[in-house]
Amino acid sequence: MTTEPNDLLRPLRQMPVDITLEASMQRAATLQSRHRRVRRTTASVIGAAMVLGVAAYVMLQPARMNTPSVVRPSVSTHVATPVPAPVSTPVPTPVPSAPPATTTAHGLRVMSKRAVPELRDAIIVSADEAMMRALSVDLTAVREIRAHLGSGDRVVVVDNTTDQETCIQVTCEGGDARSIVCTAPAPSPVRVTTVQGALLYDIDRADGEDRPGPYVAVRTAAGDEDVLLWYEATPDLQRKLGQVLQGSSAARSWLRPDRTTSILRDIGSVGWSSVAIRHVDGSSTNIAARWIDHHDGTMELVLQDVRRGTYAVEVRRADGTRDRFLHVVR
Amino acid sequence: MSGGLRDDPAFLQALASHHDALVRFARSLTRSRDDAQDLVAETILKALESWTSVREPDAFRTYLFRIAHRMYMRQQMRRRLFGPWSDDMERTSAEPQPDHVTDASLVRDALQRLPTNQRECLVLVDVLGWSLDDVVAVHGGTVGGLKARLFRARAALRAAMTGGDHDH
Repeated sequence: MTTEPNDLLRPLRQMPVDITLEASMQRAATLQSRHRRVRRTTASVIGAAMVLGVAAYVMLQPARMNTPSVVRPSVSTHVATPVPAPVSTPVPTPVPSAPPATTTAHGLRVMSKRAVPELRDAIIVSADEAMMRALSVDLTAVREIRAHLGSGDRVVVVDNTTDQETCIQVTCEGGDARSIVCTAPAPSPVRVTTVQGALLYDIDRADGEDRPGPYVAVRTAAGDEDVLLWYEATPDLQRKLGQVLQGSSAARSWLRPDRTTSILRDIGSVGWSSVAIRHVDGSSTNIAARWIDHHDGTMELVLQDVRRGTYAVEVRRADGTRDRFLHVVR
Repeated sequence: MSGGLRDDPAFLQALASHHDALVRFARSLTRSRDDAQDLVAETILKALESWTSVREPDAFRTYLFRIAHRMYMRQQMRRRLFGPWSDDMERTSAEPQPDHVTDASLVRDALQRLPTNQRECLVLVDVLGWSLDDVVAVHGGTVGGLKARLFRARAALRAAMTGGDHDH
């Protein structure tokens, strides 16, 4: 049996079998019932988690697919009065409202598979008609869609045909597909919301791909109301935005040879507690910021190790309020 | 007893003829009677699940011990991940134990110092008296490789029991 001269394993061979078949079967039965219990518990937990997940999804769905409770039958196509302050008006961060239903008074509903663009912490650029034109954005399409939504059809798909043209096709209930408008090449917003963040409609990419962000929200007048147009923060859009803001009332300063720059801001009587410098798309930077209170109602903001470009500055005041503005470094 | 386990007389009959060997295998590899009993029970449960796929009665032993091998590996893995559940060692009473119990316990302790695959092969060949071909059927590999493994295992066991060094 073995080639081991000392036969070290003999004790194991001669060891009496102290577990009977009956005992093994009893133990197996115990294990079997324990396994069943574990499987049942696991299935219950998974089932409960799925139920909770579905419930949460259903509850959150209105926030994702919100349309205004009342859609105006038509929207005027005349150019609205430009916003007085054309650029970078600090706007309170809109929070998505949770409307009661996704169906409008006219039975309209906009279908969207895409996630809600992040509204919090977004830099919102206020823009008038001229600025939108400078960004190659034609508001006609926005107005047309708003007008169409008010026509009483149930809109199930709002889709642009290309990424570079605001060429919108709205498919209505009953399969009636209509191309609304096709303008010159221009970036197309991925979502249009009210200034409070409530969804007006989504525009799905024709190829079905998601556009996960980051986004730049542009506040502008469409018809007789202001809307937020959410754009992908593409390098092209950011470059154009920077160019447009050069001549605007956004904070501007020159880059010094030591790669620092500074601006003066009116602060009134409330000091600053922190300053954050980000790129326009919301991504973080390595720019160091310090601020000097001149005690004459102005604060000097000094940025170090900075490059030319457009930055989003968020100031937290000592009283807890925030101020956001764009800073163009030339 | 819960349904299913005793519902198949053919399985019980096939199991009965290999049960003692399975227990000896489990008792040799594990350090406590509880662990051995768990290993045997889990092997039986697993074997029952698909034992009808064993067409030849002669293949049942290989089938059973292949499962036992997997279960043992899993038990070892659990032990490595979570540690021993409780007092892992064979509980010894204050009463004097028969010599064979003490000796077996010593050998088991020494076996624990061997790598798992060496330990199993040694038990199958030197305790259960399996042929090399049968062990290869369970563990895979070649007879030559198994011989080498056995050689190293025996040397390691001897070193472990005598406190000397051995050459891996």
